Amino acid sequence: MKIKKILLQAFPAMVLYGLLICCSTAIALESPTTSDQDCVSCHRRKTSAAVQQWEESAHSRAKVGCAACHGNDHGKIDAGESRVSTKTCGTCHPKAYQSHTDSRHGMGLHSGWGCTRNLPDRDNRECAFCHDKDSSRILSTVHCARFLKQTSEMGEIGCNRCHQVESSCSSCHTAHMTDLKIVRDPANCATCHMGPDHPQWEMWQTSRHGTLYNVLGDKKAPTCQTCHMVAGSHDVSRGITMSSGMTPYPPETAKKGRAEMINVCTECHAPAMVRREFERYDAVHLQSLKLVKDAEEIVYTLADQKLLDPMPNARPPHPLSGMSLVLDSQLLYEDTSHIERLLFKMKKYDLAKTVKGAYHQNPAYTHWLGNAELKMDLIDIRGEASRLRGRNISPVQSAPEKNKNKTEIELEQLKKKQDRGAINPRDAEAERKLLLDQFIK
Amino acid sequence: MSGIFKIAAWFYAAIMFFCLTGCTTVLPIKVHLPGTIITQHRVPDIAPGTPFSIDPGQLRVATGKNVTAVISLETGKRTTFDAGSPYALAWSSDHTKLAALYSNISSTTLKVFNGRGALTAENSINGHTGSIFWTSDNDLLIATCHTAEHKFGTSVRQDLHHVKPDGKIVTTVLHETTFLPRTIKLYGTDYLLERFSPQISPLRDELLYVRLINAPLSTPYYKLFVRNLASGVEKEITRLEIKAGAYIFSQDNESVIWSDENRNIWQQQTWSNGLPDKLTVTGSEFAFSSDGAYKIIDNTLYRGEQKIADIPNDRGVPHFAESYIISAWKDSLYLLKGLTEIKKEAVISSELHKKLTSLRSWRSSGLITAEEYRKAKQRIVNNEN
Repeated sequence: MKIKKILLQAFPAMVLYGLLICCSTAIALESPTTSDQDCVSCHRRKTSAAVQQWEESAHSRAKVGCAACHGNDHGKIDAGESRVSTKTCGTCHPKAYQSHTDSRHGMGLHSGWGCTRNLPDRDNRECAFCHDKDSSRILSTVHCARFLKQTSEMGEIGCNRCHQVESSCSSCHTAHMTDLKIVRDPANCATCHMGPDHPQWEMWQTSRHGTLYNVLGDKKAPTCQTCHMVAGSHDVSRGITMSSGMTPYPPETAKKGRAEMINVCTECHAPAMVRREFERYDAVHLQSLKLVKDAEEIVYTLADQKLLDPMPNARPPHPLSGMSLVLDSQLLYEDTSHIERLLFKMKKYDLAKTVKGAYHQNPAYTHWLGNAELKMDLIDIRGEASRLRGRNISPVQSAPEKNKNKTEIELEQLKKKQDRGAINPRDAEAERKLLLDQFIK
Repeated sequence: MSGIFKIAAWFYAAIMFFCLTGCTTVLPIKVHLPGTIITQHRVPDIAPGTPFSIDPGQLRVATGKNVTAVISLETGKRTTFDAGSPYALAWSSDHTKLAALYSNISSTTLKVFNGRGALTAENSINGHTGSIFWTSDNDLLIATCHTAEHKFGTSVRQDLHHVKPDGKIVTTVLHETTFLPRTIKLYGTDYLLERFSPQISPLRDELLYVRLINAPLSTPYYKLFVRNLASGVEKEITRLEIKAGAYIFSQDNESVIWSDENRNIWQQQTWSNGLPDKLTVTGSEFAFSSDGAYKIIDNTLYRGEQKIADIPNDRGVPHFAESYIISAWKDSLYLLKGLTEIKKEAVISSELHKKLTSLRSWRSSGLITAEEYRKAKQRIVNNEN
């Protein structure tokens, strides 16, 4: 009886004590490591947004603290030597890391040259352009001539901010927020996939797909992620059938990619319709390439005739090719001739709009913003070529030294007179006859 | 006994004969018109890849196997000019000088010897794999290729070096291009560079050469260009596929002859804008005699349209040198003569040469028309005769 009374009196205390033990244990479990606590306590004042974002993130819930990604060495962090790269994230997210690395996003910093692995007649030696021997790790050498022409500031904020998608998951995922809503929203892609040279965001947004998404949401319409990151895959190259320079893959290589994309489209559309549409897109692609090829031929011919103004050897050297004419994917928009600048717009902007407009089902981009501009570019290039040819500047790059005789000097003066209309052709012919008669005697 | 003696004597005579002649190799010419071709001289020890230059006037040949040597065809006497092994040789047109190109790691050394082997000039020239021409008795023209490997391909620069009598060198860049990796993979750099063998006109005032066009979105091809050396003016003649055949100037200096990838042979006036004519014969390699009476198409000698002989040759095509036909087969050179004498190229006076080349230079620059050139040329030649 007495014991029972004691137990009854002690019971609340025991319950309270038990609760206290559990809470302190819970508190002890939930607290970050000592180093993480150090980070948080300081950075809550210094970079409060970052801490708040992390605390609301899945990383925090999974007990992935600051040191797990940033390391423990604050000195290194301060010196900028502890950037969180894709490899760091890949420690815990190996599948995403691998498929990202294997895709085009995984070579964003090297996309000036473009990955050749799927191009026709690929030479295995080309792998050495980007890879160490027997390694899939990409060398750090920059391959983009346009990047090399920029100031370091422009290169960082105007180029790397997008192209660093190669080495930084935070390009899409942000640095500390892990909410999948962010990366599942097509607007996330817009920061980089927009603008004159790759306006996929604008094309999609104003296409039927984009309009339906805006009205009905992603359950009823495809987004960028629907087609290009199927089921959350980070392989953004899936379904692609051309290089980043818009060279079509050879049929055998393209087969797989095309089948993958058809699979995506036939989730909603009839297979026959899908195949018919792709045939049209492919045709427009080839037709557009033909226009660009015609333009390139004009520029090459002018270079042969040494009529470019200025010629490659009379302007600052190309960062990768030196004093050579460069019209491929390393084409510059500065330190070139006017006709090459026209070709740059044609290839880099208008070809991209035409082809990508077609494959993104946007008629206005395909036609007016793309194809019409392509054709007008060709007119401009032909006009400029005509102007260059008509300037009648000697095509000789370095004229051989010689002693001109009197007859030659007079013939040259006569030609100049005729060219500027100071003498009619018949009189010029008569004068030439006199000069030749004197020469022959 | 006497019978045995006779047999033994013949046996020993045969051994002596073979010892003296060293198992002479006979050029197996297949003659269509019997008795029309004979071997006049044979020069042994000129294996494929050995450079040589024949001076038919002096009956001597310069060779580059191991050393630079000159061999007299009449006496067989061999004179070493230099211990080095050149990759190109050329006798001057007045037969008094021999020019030789020697390869260094990234450059070329030019040496000029007099007829007795004394070194008279030496220069260093950028580039390698060159061709060498005498444009006058004292002016040399050397065409070289300079290659550089890059990650995006192999850049190739074709240079033309004019070596003046005073030793000064004036270099002109003919063309620069980049062989894309896929083009190199398909054809190989050596094959592509082999086509960069300029040809010089008989008057030695114009050059024929090819430029490789390797645009990213096109299959590669060559453009055949003619360049007037005096004016520097160039004109595109035609496009050639990679597998096209040879290209040369005609012997009258007025047209260009080339073979396309289907072995059709075309001829076109050099500086006109007309269409080319297709010749009745087909072939990849060809040569024409100075009087135009003979031609060799893919090792078959023709007089007009009549086949004379099939001449074995394993380096390029047999070619004409004054009144000889030169064939290189296995490890020997053969100087061949026919019953009907091939007329030697008419020697023109320096004054006539100067006038003709001036007219041609003015024509190329557009200072005179093609018709004015033709009439003036006719008058000059008539005056000379």
